[in-house]
Amino acid sequence: MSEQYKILGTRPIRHDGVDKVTGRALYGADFQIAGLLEAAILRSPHAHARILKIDTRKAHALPGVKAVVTAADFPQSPDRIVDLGEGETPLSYIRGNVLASGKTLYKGHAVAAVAAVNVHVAQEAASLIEVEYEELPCVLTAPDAMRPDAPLLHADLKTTEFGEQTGRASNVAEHFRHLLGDVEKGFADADHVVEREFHTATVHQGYIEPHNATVLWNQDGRVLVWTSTQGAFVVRDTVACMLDLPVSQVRVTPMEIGGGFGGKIPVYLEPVAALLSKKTGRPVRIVMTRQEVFEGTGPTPGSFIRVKMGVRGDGRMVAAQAHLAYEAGAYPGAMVGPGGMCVFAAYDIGNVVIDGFDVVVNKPSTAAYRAPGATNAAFATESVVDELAEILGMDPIEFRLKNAAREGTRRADGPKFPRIGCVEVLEAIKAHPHYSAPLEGPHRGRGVAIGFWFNAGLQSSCTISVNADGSVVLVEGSTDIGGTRTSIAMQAAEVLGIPAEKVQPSVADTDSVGYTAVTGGSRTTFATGFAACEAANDVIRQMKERAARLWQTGAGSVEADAGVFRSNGNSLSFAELAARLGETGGPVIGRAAVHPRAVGGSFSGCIADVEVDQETGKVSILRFTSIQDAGKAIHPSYVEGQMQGGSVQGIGWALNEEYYMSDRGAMMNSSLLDYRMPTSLDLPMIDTHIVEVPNPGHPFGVRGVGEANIVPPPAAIANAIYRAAGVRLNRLPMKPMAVMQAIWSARKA
Amino acid sequence: MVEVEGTTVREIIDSLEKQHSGMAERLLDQGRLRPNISVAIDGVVTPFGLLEEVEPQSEIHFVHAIAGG
Repeated sequence: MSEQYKILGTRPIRHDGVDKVTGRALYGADFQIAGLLEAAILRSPHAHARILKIDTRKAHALPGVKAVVTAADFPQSPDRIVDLGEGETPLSYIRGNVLASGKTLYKGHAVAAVAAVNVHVAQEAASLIEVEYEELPCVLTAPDAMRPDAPLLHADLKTTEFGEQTGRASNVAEHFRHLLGDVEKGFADADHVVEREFHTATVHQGYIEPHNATVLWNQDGRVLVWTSTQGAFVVRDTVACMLDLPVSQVRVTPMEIGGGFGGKIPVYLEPVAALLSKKTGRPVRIVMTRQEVFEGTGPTPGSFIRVKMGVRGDGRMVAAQAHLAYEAGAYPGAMVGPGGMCVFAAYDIGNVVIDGFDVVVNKPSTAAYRAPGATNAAFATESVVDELAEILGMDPIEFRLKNAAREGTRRADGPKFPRIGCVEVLEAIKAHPHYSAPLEGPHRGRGVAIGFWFNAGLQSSCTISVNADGSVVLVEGSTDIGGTRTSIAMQAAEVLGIPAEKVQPSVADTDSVGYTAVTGGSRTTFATGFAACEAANDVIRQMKERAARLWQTGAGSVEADAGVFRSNGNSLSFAELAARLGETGGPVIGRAAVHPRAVGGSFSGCIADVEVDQETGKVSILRFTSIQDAGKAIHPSYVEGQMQGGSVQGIGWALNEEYYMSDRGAMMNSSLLDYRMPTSLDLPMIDTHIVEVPNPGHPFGVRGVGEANIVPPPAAIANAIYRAAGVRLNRLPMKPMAVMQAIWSARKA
Repeated sequence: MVEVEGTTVREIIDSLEKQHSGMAERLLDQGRLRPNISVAIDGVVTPFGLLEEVEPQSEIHFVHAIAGG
């Protein structure tokens, strides 16, 4: 492929732009179908309780109520281990999180659901369901849940340690360890050692659109689903699994999505709506309230992390140790594995030990949130790195450059890095005008940090049909998040040699496109784009054959370049040839199904300038720059958008956002008024700088960019606060009271 | 790090089992790679799992399977 691209790197208007800004785009709550019923869910008021009895008679008797369901309405098939995209788990856990059976494990845990003629009747009926609970003691943090005398959430949960089942009943689902070199010797060789503990609160992805689903269990036996999801095929497979149906019996149509960030990969509503639809014979819609989103979906784990790092006097890191205990919520599956793989990923350290613990607690079952597990870990590591740089008297970026991971660096979890852009991102930070700009005024400080995310490959499918007017229809299965329709269409356009506007992308339902994994893991522009390239190449191959037929020559003699086909003095544009497909053999449809192997990870760094109000502890962001390796920025505006969005979420995570829990396990701030996410009024423009270190595993060098940018902001801000106020904070969020308490403590000392 | 014989990941696991009894059970479930485990050959995660062919000097790592958010 030529490095001089015609389409890639430009900024065409996104194909869904007009519909999105005029309100015509169809989201799940917009969907209408004849006979639609609305449903409401009854949720547990207790963080931990046994369900003794559920009496639905009063709900049934309310006029307008059409059906009531509980966990008893699930097929009563034997429990088994299933894999639904995020690792193996007992089917009982997945069903149990959708509708509680036996116990409720968090406040907000769904217990029953009602379908009625409208949502108000449904909500009233839900309130009439009488549930008798036996309240149990709860645990809310990983350290508390790991104590030997902690109340157990699951009687059947036994700890797996270093890959072996111990048989030990515990709230610790798994303990893993990564070992590299000799960490004791490494620390013995160190001239300086810093060991610190860190705590991070539970935070939510904060997508603006609540979960919603409409399901029709049709009279022909097919279950039709319209839903807001990052993965239509995950919904299909999960619904089929939970209802003991073959996947062919379920069709999922992904509606437009108002944010997901990982939180719309798990399934919450679709099986419930399906059960209600089966009972009523009518389509049923459920839309969560904001409170339900906070209390009944999957936030990201709170965590307790201990990091110890040792360096020689010349600045070389010689040893590192991490203890990561992540809250999984009600069911195992905290993203501590990725956290353990990312915690020291930016550095070449020969002696490392990492212990990770997946711990259940009485909070909502956690889900992925944009580089899941990595932000928690980077807050710890990058704070300690900053402290070590100060001890050494080294520039923070120079210190990181001296120890930066490169191609061939061995990670603590085993593999060596392929081509990566860690050094390039650090050098871009150092060279950026922000890094050297004067920062004047009292109580102001600048901090930096770097982070990493592996990115995913996984499966994607695509077909491209050629229209007689020279345009093409591209059918793919990736929910559009952040403009992926367009970034995928641009890649096809580049291969075909036609304008991006001539590619009409369409996100299809699960009956209409081949299997496609989630829009998540920073995989979509990479993997579905890869599929689009392959499908476009298939189109080019077929078009060459058509041209050859017209010119009565061999297909091997036909060349295609920049949308023009040539052979022996003959030439036809893509559009001219497309107009003649009917006479040369009929439609041309290109297809591809990929599962790319060489995924390129992405490094991201940031520079944060803050001012700390010495009276209130409020931290104001004065200037923020995000720098990230995109491999190849297909649509730079959308890459910049990802960098800005991840930065803003990282800033919110750093300064304000938390599940504020009562002692009895209730979230006290389950509204957007009190769960304080940054708005445009809180922040300056987030400046961006795209680094391009091509990924050899993609036709255009693409690396996913959706996630790594959320990883460094909390640490960068913590480091900036230190320079502004002289205090190092080890808890997230670094809210005003926490800052003031640190300042007061420092003044007393 | 251990050295084993094999031309595919499946054969590698069989060899590992001979050297360290119990490894197969950690990595496999009913003869298939556990879904929470990925295989990296020379640093690159393979989509072919047990079927992936390996070279005589290949490094094979069994790592957490991760996607993202």
